[in-house]
Amino acid sequence: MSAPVSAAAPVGAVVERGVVALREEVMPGSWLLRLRSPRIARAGLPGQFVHVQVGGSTDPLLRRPFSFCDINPAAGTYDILFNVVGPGTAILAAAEAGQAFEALGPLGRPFGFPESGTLVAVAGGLGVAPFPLVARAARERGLDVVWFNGAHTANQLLPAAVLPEGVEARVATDDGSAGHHGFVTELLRAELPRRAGGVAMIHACGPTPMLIALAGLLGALDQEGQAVPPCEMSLEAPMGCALGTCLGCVVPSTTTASPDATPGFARVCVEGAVMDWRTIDWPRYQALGELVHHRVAPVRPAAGARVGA
Amino acid sequence: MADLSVVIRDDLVLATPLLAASGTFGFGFEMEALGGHAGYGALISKGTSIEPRVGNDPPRIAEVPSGMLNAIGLQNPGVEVVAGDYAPRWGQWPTPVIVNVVGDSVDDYVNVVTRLEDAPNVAGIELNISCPNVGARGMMFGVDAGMAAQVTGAVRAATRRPLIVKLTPNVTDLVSIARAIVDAGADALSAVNTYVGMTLDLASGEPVLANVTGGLSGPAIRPLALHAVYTVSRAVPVPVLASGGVMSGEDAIEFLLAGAAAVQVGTLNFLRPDAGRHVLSGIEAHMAARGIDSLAELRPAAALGVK
Repeated sequence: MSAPVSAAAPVGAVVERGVVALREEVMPGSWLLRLRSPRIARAGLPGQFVHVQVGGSTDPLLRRPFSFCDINPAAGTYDILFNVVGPGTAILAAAEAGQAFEALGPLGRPFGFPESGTLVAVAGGLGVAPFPLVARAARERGLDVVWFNGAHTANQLLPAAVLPEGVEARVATDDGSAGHHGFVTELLRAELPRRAGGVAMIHACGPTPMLIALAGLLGALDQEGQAVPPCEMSLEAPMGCALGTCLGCVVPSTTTASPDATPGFARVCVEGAVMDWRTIDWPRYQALGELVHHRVAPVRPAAGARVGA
Repeated sequence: MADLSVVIRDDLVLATPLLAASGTFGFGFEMEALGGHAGYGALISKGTSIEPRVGNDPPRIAEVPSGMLNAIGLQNPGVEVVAGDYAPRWGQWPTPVIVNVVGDSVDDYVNVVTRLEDAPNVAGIELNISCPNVGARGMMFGVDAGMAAQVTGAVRAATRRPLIVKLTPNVTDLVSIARAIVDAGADALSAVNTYVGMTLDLASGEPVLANVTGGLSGPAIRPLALHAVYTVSRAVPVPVLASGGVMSGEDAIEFLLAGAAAVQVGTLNFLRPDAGRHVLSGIEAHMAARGIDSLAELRPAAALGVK
């Protein structure tokens, strides 16, 4: 309890206006927004996020957290990827080129990378968001990348064009319209034992059931006495301040990473969003059910599918 | 340069009329790293209990129109950490820190305050006798004038530090409770804590918050809080620290005109790390535009809060 307060977490975060350079519906209902924001783009790391103020009024009130989907430091831009699930994301999906959104970032703990070997990236649904940047960073470090990508249906799989070269892709869809007919964790279950010695690290992001299934898979390997690679997961939770003060975005945790995270909970914004899977209290996490609730049914923006260049 | 200082008590003078509201600023460390102390005359800490508290299960927060619901459940590291580890480090800051205290019994409150007596850099105590998110026991002191007076009196006997008591608006007769607390020795009142509310998930039909209910804050409650401040400040002879959805200098001015001695900024700290500076610059701009040099000039005599 006497460890240093996690005041270091927000250090380096800045508030900066991000000017819309591109807004594109990259998959049905999923939008990519490219913001020109040089300071944040220069500082952001794979797995970190920005907290975006979507409007100038009091409704919607809170900022929205989005992982960096990709960053181009030379151009001073970063991308976020989102589904339209409520009034905040509807505003973003209707953004015009040149429009500005103020964002706070970069925030949170980034993904770690192994020295060498193979990185396995596991993405489900919109959990694919952080992985273009992760995969590129991994390739730049000379790592092999195997990407397990699951989605409901084929047209909700992120287009391969956004992947860096040399990434080996495995695909699963719930309806069997592409790749394995079933869950991405089933693909992984079949392949991981064959690769176990060769997997240096797993990065995962996706819906809660996928993360629970992955934790179950890793736990089973552990019980069998097999090698379990380090696994880091990017988590989602309803978020208030993103600075560690409101204690709103907690998930059940087995460790105390800072004194404000009293035993039992860790803050997604500070101890995460990327967490070691072993620090998550899985039975309690599973018992909680879905943490993220959307107040309104999905809203389709009226604007065209693409603006900007 | 206008004089914006506010005297809460002779030994608690704020350089500006703004305080960071309890529960929206942690214990000051995260916001300090971002320069977030600027603009504030004092910081009020997260609620501090005798033992560490884990808090409620998530989801703990939910957005609603122009507001948010929270049910954190008083997660905090306990008074030993606050007194022994945090308080010594507050001495590095120019901004005074007031410790918000929570408890389940009169003894709890007295024990926390007594432990804090040995701690340095505690500029004052704010009693939270009305947390809406920890079940009946958390709310009971603040909704009954007799019990509110009892806990206030017991804490008053345990400390000579400035004592502020935070009112819950979830009562039928706010004024009688406010008067009882002042009669029991409070130096100032905070008005108001959050309003109890809830929201449902339309798909599941279930409450969004694991706690079912939460405290509503943000601009949605501002007119309600303004009325509470207006009413209470006319009924008691002590300073009233307003709290309720302040988003701008204009909002703070409105509370000052209604009778507040100073104004707390809460939910805005979640929206922008420069909340204190933002609100203060709005106050300064409002005063400069009218050629006003002091807060006393700003407030008409009728709104000074003294009968």
